[in-house]
Amino acid sequence: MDPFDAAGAVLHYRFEAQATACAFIGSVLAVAGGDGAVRLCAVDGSSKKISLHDGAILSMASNAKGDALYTAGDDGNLKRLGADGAISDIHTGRKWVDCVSCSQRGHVAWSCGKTIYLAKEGEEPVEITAPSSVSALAFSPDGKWLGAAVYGGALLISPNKPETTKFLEWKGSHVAIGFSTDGRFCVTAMLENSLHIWKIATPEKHGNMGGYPAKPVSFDWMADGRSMLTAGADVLVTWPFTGSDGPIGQNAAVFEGGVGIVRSVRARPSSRQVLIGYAAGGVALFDRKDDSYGYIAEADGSPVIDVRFSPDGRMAGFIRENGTAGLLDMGKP
Amino acid sequence: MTISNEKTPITVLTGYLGAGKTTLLNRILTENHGKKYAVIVNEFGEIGIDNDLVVDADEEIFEMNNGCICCTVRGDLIRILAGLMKRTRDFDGILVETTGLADPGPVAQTFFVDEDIAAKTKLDAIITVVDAKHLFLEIDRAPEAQEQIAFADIVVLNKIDTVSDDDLRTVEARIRRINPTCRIERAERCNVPIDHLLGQNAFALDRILDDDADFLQKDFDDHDGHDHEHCDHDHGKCDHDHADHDHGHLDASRHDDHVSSFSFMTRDKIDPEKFFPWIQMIGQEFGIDMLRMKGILDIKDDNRRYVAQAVHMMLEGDFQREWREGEDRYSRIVFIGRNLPRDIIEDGFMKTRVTA
Repeated sequence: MDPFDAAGAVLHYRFEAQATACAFIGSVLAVAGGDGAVRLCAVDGSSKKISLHDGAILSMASNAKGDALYTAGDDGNLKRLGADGAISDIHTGRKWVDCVSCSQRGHVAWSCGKTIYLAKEGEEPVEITAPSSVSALAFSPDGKWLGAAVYGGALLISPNKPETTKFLEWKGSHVAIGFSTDGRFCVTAMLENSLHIWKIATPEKHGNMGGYPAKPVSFDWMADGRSMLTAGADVLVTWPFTGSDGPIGQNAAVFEGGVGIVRSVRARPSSRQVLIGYAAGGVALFDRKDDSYGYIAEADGSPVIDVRFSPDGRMAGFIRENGTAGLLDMGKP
Repeated sequence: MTISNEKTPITVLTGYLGAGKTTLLNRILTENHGKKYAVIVNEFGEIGIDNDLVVDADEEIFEMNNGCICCTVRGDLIRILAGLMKRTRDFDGILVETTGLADPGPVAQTFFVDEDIAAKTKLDAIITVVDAKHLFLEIDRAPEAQEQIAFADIVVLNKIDTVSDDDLRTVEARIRRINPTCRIERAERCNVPIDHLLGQNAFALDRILDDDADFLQKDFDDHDGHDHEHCDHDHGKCDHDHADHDHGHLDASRHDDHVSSFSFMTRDKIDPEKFFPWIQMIGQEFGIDMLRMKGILDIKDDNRRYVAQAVHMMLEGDFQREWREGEDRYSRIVFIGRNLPRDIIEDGFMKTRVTA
C-alpha cells in the first residue's frame, strides 16, 4: 500500500484518557487507557468504551485464539474481556499487576512485583518468584519459554514445566524482552540505552548492542525472521539474524527517513513492510522491498508508544501517549 | 482533552523510624490545601497513611551497567513512577517515603539517570525528618543519619520540646556542619507549614544556593576570626598563610564525622577551560564519596551566573540569570561528602581561577 494512499485512509480516534497499551482482537484495535477503560476501535470508525479497572491499565495482551484480551491494572486486578463482551476476574490482589503476556499455545502470564503467575488459559496459575521486580514479560514464538526482564538479566521459565528455569545474566537493569522468530535468541532492552542478546542454547554466547541515544524499548523481527528492527535512535536500526550467532559480532544497518527518535516499531506479518512510530508523534510506513518510505500520520508532539498489526497483517494500528489512536485497513498482505 | 506537560513534583521523605516521617506525611495529606498526592511508601513503613492512592515500594537498588559503582538507582521507583504517570492525572504531586536506613542517593539519582522519568517528573526536594533528642545523642554513631542530613534540602528538626535550648543549638550546629546549604525547620510533632516543605524546586538549577546570601556574608566576615579547625589535625602541614588568601572558607571537617562539608569562595573570575575538566575529574575521582555538590560560578567573559550541582557522579550545570547591577559577584562551591580530601579539592578549585 502506498504511504500516501494509506495516510488518507487512516481512521483517527481521540480519547479522554492517556493510552497505555494496544492489541488487536480480530480486526478490532483495543486501546487501553490510564482511566482503566478499554476502547474497541472498529474499521467502520466506531469506538466502544468498556470500563474495567479502578485506576490505570498498565499492560494488555490478546490471546492466540483472538477471542479475548487480558488487562493488567494498578487496582491489583487482571481481567479477561472476551470478544463476546464477557468480563471475568482472573486475579485479584493488593499489588499492581504490572505486566501481562499471552503465548501462541494458550498460556497467559502476569506479574505483580517479583511474583510471576503462569497459567494455561482458564486454569489455575503457578507462582514463580523472580530475583527482582519484573519489568516485562514475553513468550517465545515457539512457546518454549516465558521470558521475564529483571534486574541482572532475563529469567526464562518453561511454560510446560515451570520448575525448569534458566537465568541469562548481564549486569544492569533490563526493561523489555523479546525472542527471535525461531526462538533461538532472547533479547532485552536495558536502562543504559542498549539491547542485550543471548543465544539461549549456549548463553555464554551473548552480546551487547549499544550506542542508542534513547532506550530501545521497542523491537521486532521482520516476518522472515532475518533481521531485527529496533527503536531508540533517530534512524531505523536493524540487526542481522542470518548467521548461526545472529547479530553477535555483526554490524547494524540503518535506514534514514523521518524526524526524531523512533519510539516503536513493528513488522507486518507475511510482508516486508514495517510500521514506525516516532517520539514526536508521527507514524511512517517503510517497505524493505523497495525501501519506499512515507508518513501515514503526522507528528502531533505526543510519543507513539505502540504500533501493531492484526495477526493476519491486514489491519495496522497505533496509539499515542496523549490518547490518540489510528486504525488502517491495508488489505491483504 | 489536554494532557498537561507540567512535570509532576516529587518530594522525598527520609529519616529514621520514629523520627516523625509518618506524622509529617499525614499532616501533608490531611491539611486543607486542596491538593491530592500519590504516596509511595516502603514495605516496612509505619501503618496508617491517610490517603486514597498509596503504593507499596520494595526499595530495589539497581546498579547501572556503565562502569560507575556510584551510579545506583531505585528500580522499583522507576517502575512505580512510570505506572503512576499512566493514570489519568488525579494527583498534583508524589510523596516518596523511604525506610529509616535508606540511602537517599539512589532516589535522587533516579531522576538524573532515567530520561523517561526526568521527562515527566521533577525532584522537588529531599526532606529529612530528625528527632532532636535522638540526633543529639546518636548522630556520631549513626552514619546513615549523617548521610540523610547530607542529602537534605530541608531538615525538619522535630520534637524540639524534648531538648534544652542549648542542646538544640548544638544539634543545629551539628546539622550545619554536615550540610551548610539545607534549611532547618524546627518543629514539634512536625508542625511545619506545608508551604515550607512542598513546591520548593530545590533541584532546579536557578534555585541552587538561593538561600545563600546570609551564609555568604558570614563566610567572608568570619574568615579572619575563624578557628580553622582543620589545622588541629594531622594534615602534615599547616604552614600555608591564611592571610594571603583572598577567599574565605568555613571548615566543617572533623575526624570523627562520617559526613562533612566544606566550601570555597573567590571573587576572582573562573576560567571555564580549567573549571569544567577539573569538576569532571572530581566527579570521576571522588563521585562515590561526594554526596552533593552545589556551586555558583562567576565565569570569565560571561555576564551570567553559572550554576552547577551534583549527586555523586551525576553532574549538571547551566548558565542562569545575569548578574545584577551592583550585585556582589563571587564564585562559591560547596561539597558535602564522606571523607573528601579537602586540601586537594581546595587546591584544584583555586587553580581554576583566571590567572593574570
